[in-house]
Amino acid sequence: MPSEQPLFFGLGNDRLFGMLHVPEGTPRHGLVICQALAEEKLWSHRVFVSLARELAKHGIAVLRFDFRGEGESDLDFEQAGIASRIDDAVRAAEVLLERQPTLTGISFLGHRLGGAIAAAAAARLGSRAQGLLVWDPLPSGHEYLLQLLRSNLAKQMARDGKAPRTRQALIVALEAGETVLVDGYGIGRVLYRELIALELPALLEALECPALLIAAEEGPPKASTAPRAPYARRANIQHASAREPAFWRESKELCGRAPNMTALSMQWLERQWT
Amino acid sequence: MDMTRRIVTLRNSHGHALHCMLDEPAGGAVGAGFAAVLLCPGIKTRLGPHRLYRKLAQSFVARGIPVLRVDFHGLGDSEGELPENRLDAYYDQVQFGRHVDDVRSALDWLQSECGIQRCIVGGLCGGAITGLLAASDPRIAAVYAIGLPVALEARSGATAEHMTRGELVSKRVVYLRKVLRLRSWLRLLSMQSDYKLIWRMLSSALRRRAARRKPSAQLAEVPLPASSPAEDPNPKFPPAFFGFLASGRPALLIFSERDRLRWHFEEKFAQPWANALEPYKSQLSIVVIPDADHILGSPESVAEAGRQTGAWLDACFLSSASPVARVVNSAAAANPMRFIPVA
Repeated sequence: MPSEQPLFFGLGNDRLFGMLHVPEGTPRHGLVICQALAEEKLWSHRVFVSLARELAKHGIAVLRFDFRGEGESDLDFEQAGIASRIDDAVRAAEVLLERQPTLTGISFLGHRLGGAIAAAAAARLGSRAQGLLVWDPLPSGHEYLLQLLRSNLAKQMARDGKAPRTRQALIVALEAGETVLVDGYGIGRVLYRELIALELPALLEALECPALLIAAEEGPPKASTAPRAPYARRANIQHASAREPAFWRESKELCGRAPNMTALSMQWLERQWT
Repeated sequence: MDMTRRIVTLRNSHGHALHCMLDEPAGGAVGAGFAAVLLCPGIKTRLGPHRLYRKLAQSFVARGIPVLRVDFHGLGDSEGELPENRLDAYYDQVQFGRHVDDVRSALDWLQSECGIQRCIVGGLCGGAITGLLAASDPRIAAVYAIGLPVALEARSGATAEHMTRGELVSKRVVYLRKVLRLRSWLRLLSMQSDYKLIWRMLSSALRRRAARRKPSAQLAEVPLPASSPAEDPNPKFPPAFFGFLASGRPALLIFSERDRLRWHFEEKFAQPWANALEPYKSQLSIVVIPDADHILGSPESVAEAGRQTGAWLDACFLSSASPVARVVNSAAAANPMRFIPVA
């Protein structure tokens, strides 16, 4: 039976919370999961718990963890940025390697913005990073910021029937150092600055290990799963799509699993190791 | 603030490991007069939306009250699976008490591991109603409820899960006619029947029967409403609420001004039962936070909720005049090292 060990690990003066899923016997491989941000993390949390359990049953040691500023880890959300999250992911990989000394390297799995963070962490980890999986990749931090701000606008509309602070006004406020609220999370200057500079294609360029990017398709599977242009530059980067609901957003469905993305990911991981 | 945080893994009566977090004041939790137990709001884990529970925990810990934040089975990091595949169906199950057993397990753990026998229990929305439903346990000293829901979530729709009661009744008549048909039984046994619909019909009938039985069987003292209550009430709510009040324990009910649940409570419960609630006014502290939304999604709302929580704790648990404080003080007399007065 695989076991699950909740733990805290240190990074400088801060503590990060993690959950280590240990397979029975010697692990064949290791995987660090970098989840999405803020409410997307909460809505999707159970999918990654199920994924980690499934992988542990197949001999893979998995470390899920909370970035600083999220979950049970130290720092307020406003204090953490992209750079701190990349540091956290690298540290999580080191912790997994320390705790499972038979492993010579690990792979990363990142979801949504966690995909970009996982890509940066994998590049920094060098040869010890053996693979990268990205679920529902976000090509640009700036685009993602606009998605977040849409939530702020929707809240204004729900509250007042209008949105007196337009998206542009919110960006001006962020530029001026104001904290802007999105679903109760404060986006401060650090996260804003680092978010708008984040480009997944550039991060993938620096990657040594193979990667699989899986786009979530909410409708029926499309005939062509041709990669989007910005990602298609390197031979070690593959693309796929999987039919899954947007389990990281509030919906009528209660999603505890992402079976299609899980199956694709496991097939790909197995291929990397054989 | 001097607060430490440690991981607690306990097991519910089904053997599921529940991974919880204990926020402790200086000196730890062992021997504290009271603990607070914060319960998952919907599926938002032991943290709540935007880590709300970590923020609210500070009001308790500042007063020497440790806070155990619980991941229910099937949620957060805990073991177990939720059978529902729709959120509203799950929310309804929470309102029927799905996680009451998990609460008892948390109380057991606090009692056995920390020697704490009196707890303030609740949380936001689903955490609030679960705390109330669990309050038949005498170890629950008070209910702490933010956005307490009184009506059920599931709405009408085309699928079996969302059929109205009238639709389910008419379907049940059709199915009853099939009971004596061999072909119907073959369909049932060969997995061709709509099990979801059958389950919904049966559970709906059982729920209605249970709701009809409740006033005479479970809580004869549940008063009748002065005016007709809403059509979508949670049948478990009035018995639980009046049963709790009849025991003389206090509750803090925090509502957000811009939350529909505030109006649900007011119009679907407080108004119809206004006369019946009158004798219990002194036990109930009801606060509406101006301009707040359901999740207390602004720092101002969180700060006000924290302030109201602190004031309520001071009045109910830390003032020597309050009846609850007498219990605390007697516990403190037994263990004078651990009772921490308000700063």
